Amino acid sequence: MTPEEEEVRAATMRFYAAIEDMITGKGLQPMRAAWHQTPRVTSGHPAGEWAYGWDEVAASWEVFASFGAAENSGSGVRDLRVNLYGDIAYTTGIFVASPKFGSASLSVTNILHRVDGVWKIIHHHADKAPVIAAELEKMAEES
Amino acid sequence: MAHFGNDEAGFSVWLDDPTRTVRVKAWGFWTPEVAAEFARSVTEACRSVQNANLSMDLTGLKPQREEGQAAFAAMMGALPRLGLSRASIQGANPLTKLQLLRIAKERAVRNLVHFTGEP
Repeated sequence: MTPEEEEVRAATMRFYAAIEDMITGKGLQPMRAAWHQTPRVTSGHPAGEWAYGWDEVAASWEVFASFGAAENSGSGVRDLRVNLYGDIAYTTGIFVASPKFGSASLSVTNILHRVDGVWKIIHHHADKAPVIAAELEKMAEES
Repeated sequence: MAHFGNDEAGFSVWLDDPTRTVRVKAWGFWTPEVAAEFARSVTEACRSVQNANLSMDLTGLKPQREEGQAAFAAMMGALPRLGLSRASIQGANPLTKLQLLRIAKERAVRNLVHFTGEP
């Protein structure tokens, strides 16, 4: 892996660390830092519809963060692959949800853009996962 | 019918007289201006009918930023004073439903709000 590919991989891993922080109740600051916050970013989650632009993307992450709790820990990503095209790169991998969300395995794709030497997410997509949506709804009803 | 916003984001409120049902259709990701009209429009419509039903079709409504959440919180907070027979929400996508469930519980009106599938 080249140094540039390592940078893309590191930026992607920061994004997944931000997901873990978010679902364990540590807040959204790392998630906000992982993204270029522009009107041209997009996100598709395991539950819900496409979010277009940073305001919508942030609102969708806030829903997940509102259920953050320490017992939700244990998510991760494996089989991460990096593909670099100048200042644009994409990564693919398998996101493994935490045991609280059934340890569901989801294929994921992320697109990153390098601006002023910094790689950040501009697009995220994960497979739909009804088990995650169902668990979140259960948590909402029980909270 | 009262209509706010545009094809991308907004809501409509109208009264279905024969069934005494206030019907709401909402969609998209609201601007603060649209959100600011929501609670007042819905509660005024509900007050205009005795023992009204409230039926909201939220197909296409996205999770909202603070202003939109505040609008739903204000509307839900008013429900106990409106004397409704029933308040139902149809078609909300999973993330929007989660956001509204949280608001309903925070406003202590979870028992008044019924979520159903398709509108």
